[in-house]
Amino acid sequence: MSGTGHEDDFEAYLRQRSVLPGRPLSSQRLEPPSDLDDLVLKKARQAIHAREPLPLYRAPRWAVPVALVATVLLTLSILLNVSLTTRRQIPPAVSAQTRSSASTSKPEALQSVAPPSAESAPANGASADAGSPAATYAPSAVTTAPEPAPRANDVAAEAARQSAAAALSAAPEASRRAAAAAKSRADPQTWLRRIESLRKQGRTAEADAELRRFRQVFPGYPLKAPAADARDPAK
Amino acid sequence: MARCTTTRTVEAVSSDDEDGELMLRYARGDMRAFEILYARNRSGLYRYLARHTHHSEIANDLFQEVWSKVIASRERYEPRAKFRTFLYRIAHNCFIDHCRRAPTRSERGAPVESWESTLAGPDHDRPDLRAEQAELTACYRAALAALPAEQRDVYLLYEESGLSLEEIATISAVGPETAKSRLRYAVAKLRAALAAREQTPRDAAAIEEPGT
Repeated sequence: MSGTGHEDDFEAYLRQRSVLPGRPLSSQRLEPPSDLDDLVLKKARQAIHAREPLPLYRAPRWAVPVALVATVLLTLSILLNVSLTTRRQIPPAVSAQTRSSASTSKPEALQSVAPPSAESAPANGASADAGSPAATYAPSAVTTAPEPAPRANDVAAEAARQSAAAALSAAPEASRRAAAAAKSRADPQTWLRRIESLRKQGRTAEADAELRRFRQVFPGYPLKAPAADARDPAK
Repeated sequence: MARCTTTRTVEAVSSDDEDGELMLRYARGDMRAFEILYARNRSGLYRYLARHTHHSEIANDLFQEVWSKVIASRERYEPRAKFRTFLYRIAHNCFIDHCRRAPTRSERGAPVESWESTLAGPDHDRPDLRAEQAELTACYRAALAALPAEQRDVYLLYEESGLSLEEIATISAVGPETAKSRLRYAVAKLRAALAAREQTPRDAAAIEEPGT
C-alpha cells in the first residue's frame, strides 16, 4: 500500500475514531458494574454532605458596623463623663487657693487664730463669689487647722451653704451681708476675725452669739486669750 | 438496564462545556449535577482503563480511584480546559502510577477478554456470529496488547475520550505531532493485525482446497 493510501486510511480513522468501521467490538459495550456506580455515587454524596458546615451562629451583616458605632459612642460618653466629673471635683480656683494656703501657712498660724495673710483673703473672697463657698473653704480649714475633724468641716460647709441660701432669699443688702457672714463661717480664722471685729464695733451680743455658734461648729479649735475671755460672757 | 438506557441517552447529548459546568455545580453541592456528569463519562473512562489494564478488578480499582480524585478535587476545579481533559489526565496518571507501584498486580483478577465474552451482544442468538465476534475481539486485544505503551495510550485516549489530538498531547505531555505520529503507528499496526486475521482463514481455505 502506498504512502498516500496510508495517509487516507489514517484521515478516515481520525474522522470515524474506530479501527473497525462496521460492527462494534464487544469491548466497546464495556460498562462499569452497577455496584461500582453505586460506590462512586455514594462517595460523591458523602463528600457533599461532609462538606456542609455545622449550623453555627452567624451575626447579621449590619452587626459589625453597629457594634463599632456603639463602642465609639460608649467610649466617648465615658470619657466625657470622666472629664466633667474631674472638673467639677477639682476646680482651678480651689487648687490655686490650696496652693496659696499651703505657702502662706506658718507654724504659729496653725496654733493661733491669727488673721490670714493678705493674699489669701482676697482669694477667699473671690472664690466665695464664685458661688461654692463650702467647697472652696473646706480644704482651707483642713490645711490650716490640724485639730478639727473633717466632720466639722462638713458641718461648717453645710452651715455656710444654709446661710448662703438664706441670704439669697433675703433683700439684696441683707443678703450680701448674710453671704459675707456665711463666707466667714466657713473658715474658722475668718470667722474669729469677724467675731473680733464685731467686738471692736461694740456689738458684743452679736459677737457672743457668733462665738457660741463657732464653738458648736468647731468645738476643739484653740482660741486666743481675748476670744477665750469672750467665750464666757459671764466672766 | 434502565440505567444503561439513560446513560446512553445522556452520553448522546454530552458536551464538554456542559461537563465543566456540571462539575462546578457539583462543587457547589449539587449532587444531581454529579450524577449527570458521571453518567456521561463513566463508560468511556471505564473502557479506557479496562482496555489498558486487561483485568476487570484492576480496572474497577482504577476507575474508583479516578472518580475519588475527581470528587476530592471539586473545590479546586477551575474550568481552564475541558472537563474530559481533566478527567483523562487523572486516569492517565493513575494508570502510570499503577504500573510503577505494582507491576505484579496485573496478574490479579479475571482478564477482560474472558470477562467480555460473558456480555450478551445483539447477536447472542447466532452462535456463528458470536464465535466470529469473539475471534475478532481476541485478535484486536492481542494487537492492542502488542502495541508500545505510548502508542496504546494515545490510541485509547483518542478512541474512548473523544478528545482532540492537541488535548491528548497535553495529557500525555508530548507535542501534538508526536501524539499524532504515535496514533498513526498504532492504527497502522492494529489494521495490519486485523487484516492478517482476515487473510489467514482465506489462505487456510485455499491451502485446504487442493488437498480435498
